[in-house]
Amino acid sequence: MNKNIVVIGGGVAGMAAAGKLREFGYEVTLIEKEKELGGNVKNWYKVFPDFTDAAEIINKLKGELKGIRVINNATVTQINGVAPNFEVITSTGEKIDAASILVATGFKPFNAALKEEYGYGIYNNSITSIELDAMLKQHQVQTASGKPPQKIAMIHCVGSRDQQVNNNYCSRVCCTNTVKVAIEIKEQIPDCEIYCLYMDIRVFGRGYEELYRTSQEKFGVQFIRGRLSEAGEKTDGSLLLRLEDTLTAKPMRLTVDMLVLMVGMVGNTELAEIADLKVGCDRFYTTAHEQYSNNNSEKKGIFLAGTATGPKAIMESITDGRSAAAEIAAFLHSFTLENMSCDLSFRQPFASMIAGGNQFCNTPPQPSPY
Amino acid sequence: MVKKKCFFGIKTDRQVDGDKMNAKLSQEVLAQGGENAAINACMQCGTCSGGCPNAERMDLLPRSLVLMVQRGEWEKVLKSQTLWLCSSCHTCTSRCPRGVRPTDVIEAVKAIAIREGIKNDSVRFNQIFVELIEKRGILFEPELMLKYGGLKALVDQAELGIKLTLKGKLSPFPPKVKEPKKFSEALTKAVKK
Repeated sequence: MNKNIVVIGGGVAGMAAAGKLREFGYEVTLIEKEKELGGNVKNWYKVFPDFTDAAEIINKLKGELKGIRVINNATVTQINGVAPNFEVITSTGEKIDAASILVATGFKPFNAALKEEYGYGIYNNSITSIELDAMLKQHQVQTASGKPPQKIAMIHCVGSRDQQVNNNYCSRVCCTNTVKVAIEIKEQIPDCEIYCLYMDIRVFGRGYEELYRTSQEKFGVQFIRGRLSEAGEKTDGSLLLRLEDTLTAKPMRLTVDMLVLMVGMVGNTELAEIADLKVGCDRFYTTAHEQYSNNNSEKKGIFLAGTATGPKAIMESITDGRSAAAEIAAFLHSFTLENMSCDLSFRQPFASMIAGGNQFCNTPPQPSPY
Repeated sequence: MVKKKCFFGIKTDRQVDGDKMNAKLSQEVLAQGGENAAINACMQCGTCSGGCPNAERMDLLPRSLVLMVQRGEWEKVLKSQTLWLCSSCHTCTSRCPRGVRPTDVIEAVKAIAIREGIKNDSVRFNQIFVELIEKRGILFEPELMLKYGGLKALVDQAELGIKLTLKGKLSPFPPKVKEPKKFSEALTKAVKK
């Protein structure tokens, strides 16, 4: 058995896992499809709840990658063999031997253009949270006509909790992200009015609720309970929003200079066929058990980490990556102990666990209609 | 609350005009009531309305009142009976999970309203009450009745008044405080503060 482990995906989860595996003494090969490590996080400005610079997180995790082989600009096209003797073939034509494989392929941001009624890609002042974050990074939050906006509406749950786009799940991070960017906008443009249009506020982590409260108390961010129904452009480029103000149970019209769509996460299942991984009805990879084997795939020797198995915050992804590293180390250790003829029967119950699946899925897994 | 009606009975307040929202009123309330009247932290949970003993008589529940102040709907706040139905029992304030003090918010709104010259029965009653206390240091109920409701009120309440007097609960002559001078000094001092 060779001691190499292939980590697919160089985002925060993949890097965190690779770093720990290296510390455990394994050889690690990290495969990243882009030319830079860092996944989605590398494009971001500051992250909640403590406004740590995203670059700081990336640099910290990169610093732990000493002695690790990183292959950039490559994807995995084929996986042969079984644990602990996998052969991973990359798009660059390379064949890599692996004792175990970690899939940390992350998520894709929801394509806001699918919510036609919000006017993304149609109206110039309808932008996504990702574009806003880039503007904040440049300290240049401005409307399409180049002016600083005086009124901004932030729309929660864009592409989340929405059967129309086949995403019934909550993306978990958008609420806190909304609160965070609202504070950042207020810091950069103090006289800008911000309205957050929400269905429920789901700020659940340590320090998140406090951030939500601060945004209201200290920065005067307004929260309107109601989901945007449609946006229309006025002649001056501002947007007229139509929604119900459910707290007063009346329809509301609201004009804003800029509409920010807080896009959710969509599962990245590019490896489903190649690695023979099961995909849940939410189009994220299924784990062996939701409670106690959340880093194991149903395939022996292939592990999962980060947002590949469902929406997670950055801190959770890093923790999940490291937890996967521990699982992999234990898995490989069992081979070493038993000299490759070990009794792995204790791992067998996986199959029966998987059969149960997610009890909240009332529809079989189906591809997105889009 | 009286519904505004346009011609042919078409109601005009069926829709919220989001563009009128502004932070002016909440800032004014904050300036009046100090930190205790900080309402921005409100998350609209409704604990205040749930515990309010006078809620069923109110046209605008405490939660909605706070929302209207947040959004700067001064007219709605001013028209509302809630301000005058609040008995300052502080139940809402003691239960608010975000430390909002609706009682203090209502006090602050009332103070602004009175300063702006609002006229209604509750305000008039309060003002007469204070005037009489300033004058005597202690309340003489028949005098309050006379000033507030005129001779008619006095006559209407006469039966109850006589009953109370016979049982020794109400003196037919104006009562006095022991040291009127000291009292008025204390009052002046309190007003100055």
